[in-house]
This record gives sequence, structure tokens and C-alpha cells, in this order.
Amino acid sequence: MIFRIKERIKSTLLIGFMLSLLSACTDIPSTNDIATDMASVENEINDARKTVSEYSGGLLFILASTRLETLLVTRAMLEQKKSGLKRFISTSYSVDGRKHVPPSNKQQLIREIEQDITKLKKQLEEAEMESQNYSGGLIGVLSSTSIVTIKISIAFLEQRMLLLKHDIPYYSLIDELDGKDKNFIPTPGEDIDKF
Amino acid sequence: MMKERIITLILLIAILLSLTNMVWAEEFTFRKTKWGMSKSDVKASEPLEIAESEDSLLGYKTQVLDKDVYVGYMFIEDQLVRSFYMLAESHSNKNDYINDYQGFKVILEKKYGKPLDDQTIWRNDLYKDDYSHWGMAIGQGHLIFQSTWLTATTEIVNVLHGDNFEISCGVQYKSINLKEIEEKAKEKKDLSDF
Repeated sequence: MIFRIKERIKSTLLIGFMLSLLSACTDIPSTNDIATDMASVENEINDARKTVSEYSGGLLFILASTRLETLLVTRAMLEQKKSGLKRFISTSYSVDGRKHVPPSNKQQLIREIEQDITKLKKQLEEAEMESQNYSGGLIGVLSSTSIVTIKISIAFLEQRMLLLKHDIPYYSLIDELDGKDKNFIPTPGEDIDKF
Repeated sequence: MMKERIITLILLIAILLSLTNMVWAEEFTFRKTKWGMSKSDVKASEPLEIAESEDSLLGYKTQVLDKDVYVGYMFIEDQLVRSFYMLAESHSNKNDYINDYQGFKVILEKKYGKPLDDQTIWRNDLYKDDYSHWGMAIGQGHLIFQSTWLTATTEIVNVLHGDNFEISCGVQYKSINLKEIEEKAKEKKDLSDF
């Protein structure tokens, strides 16, 4: 009888040990964090869409669209990471042939960006309060421009913070814009003679 | 005797040719201009259409090294004292500005040799360990790249710097002999501002 109990204890200990060993070996990251962040980005996307729909063109439309595009890119990057985690595919990024390694001072960077976001949110509150004093006219437009500009800055900083948080390099985000101005014409001759 | 004469003649021609080459090489300091040229002379030297014209500035748009750049000529008392190339392209990936800076540096090295001064200045180390954020660091004024060359008449500075998320990259040429005129004009302007 005693022998049996001993055996059972031994087996339980062995199973426990094996389980703990297995859990240590499988580093399965949770997608909950990303899901929470994505929900917050989604709310901002809805807000940005509403703002874009208020304008048919002009500077405010362009600024609002920039914010919306930034948020959509952030969501797409988080979605990619989340899908990878769900399927146990580790997503790695290379920048100019170098493997992206999160910065050693990642937490400090996140803290600093968070502080900047807090400051901007305060500025946004002030700008929105100020904006309520004007229903239209030039000052009203300037005031609205200021609000949208601050919102873009927040979207940029939040994007940087989220990508940093989830180890996605900011570098690989957007392709180079092909915005060449046709007025820039080379003059004849070798480049070296022009320097 | 005849052979000696021919050799001497060839040598003389070679020396003369190298001397004229040196003179020609020194003749133009920037594109087809020389320091001290008047605004109208500079206009005549430039085949491009003027993009901007002020009392003390002439601006053009062109391409060098396949990059869109502004060409600027700066005058004091109708004398050319400075000129520059300023990158007119913008990059969503701010690290690409480093490639532009390097591109300018390579061609300047090819023409003027190793820079007299070559600096990478970190005013804030926040992003120093993370190359993917170096473009960001430049935009925030944390990081500056600067290389300098000196010729007999010109100080050439290739610089990449930024502030408030605005990055500027370009090469500036400055007359050494007309430096005094420029300083006096600046002093005069500063005094008039007060």
C-alpha cells in the first residue's frame, strides 16, 4: 500500500515536472494585448471616418484623411502581428537587410511617447474648448485646422508607441511616395561637375 | 640633340596642360559660377528656369544624382557669396534621408577627397541604439550628420539635420574670401533689427 502511494506521488511529481517543462518551452504569446490596442485604434478610426465625411475637400479634408490613413496602417500592422501570433507564426522584420531588434530602452521610449501623447491630448482639449467660441469664419477654420493637426500628431505618436510595444519596426511601415515634381529637370553634364 | 628637344617640348606641353587643367578646375566654384559674380551673371550662367528671385536670392529646381533638389544662390551687395543644393524630396521613411546624405557625401569625396571634418553628432541618445529610429532622431533634432571640405576659395558643408519633425539635407558652398562682407551684412541687419 505504502509502495503504491509512493509510486503515485512519484508519478504526480513527474507529470508536474514535465508539464512545467513543456509550458516553459512553448512561449505562446497572448493576443489579448493586441486585441485591446486594436479596439482602441478601431474607435479612433470610426472617429476619423466621421471627421472625413464632414468635409468634401480642402485642407481639413486632406488632414483628416491623413489621420484616417495613419490609423488604418496601424490597424493593418497590428492585425498582421495578431494573425501571426494566433497561428504560432513568429513575424520577423528586416530593415535594409538587418534583422529588426527591439531597442534596449524600449520601455523608456514608450514612456516618453506616452508623455508626449498626454501633452497633446491636453492641447487638444484646449483647442476644442477654444474652437467652441467660433462657429465659422477664418478663425473658426484655423481653430478646426489646429484640432485636426493635433489629432494627426496623436495618431502618429500612438502608431509609433503601439508598434514599439508589439516589436514592429516603424521603419518598414510605409512605402516611399512617388511624388516627383516634374519641374525638377536635370541640366546637361556629369553630376560630379555640378558639385 | 633633336631627341632632347622633343622630350623637353613634350614635358613643357604636359606641364602647361596640367596647369590649365588646374586653372579650369578652380575657375568655377559651384556649377558654372564663381564667387563675386553679379546676380545677372549668375542668371546667365544657369540654363534652368528661375523658381524664386529675391534681392539676395536666386532659386532654381533641378536634379542631381537622380534627386530633386533646389539650387540656391545668395548675394550680398550683388556679389555671389553662397550657394547650395537643398533636397526637395520628402520621404515617409525618414531613414532614407541618411541615404541622401551619404549620396552627397560620396560624390563630394570623389571630387574633393576625404572631408576635413566628418561628424555624427548625437544631441540626445534616446534612439542611438535603434537604427530604425535614426530618421526619427534627425527629425527631432537629436541627431546631426555633417561633413566639411575646404578648397582654396570655398568651404563646403554637407549636412543632414532637423527640428520639429522637419528634416533638411543639402550641400552648402560658402566663399572664404567674401566671408567678411557676409559677416558685415549680417551685423548690419542684426543692428537694424533692434
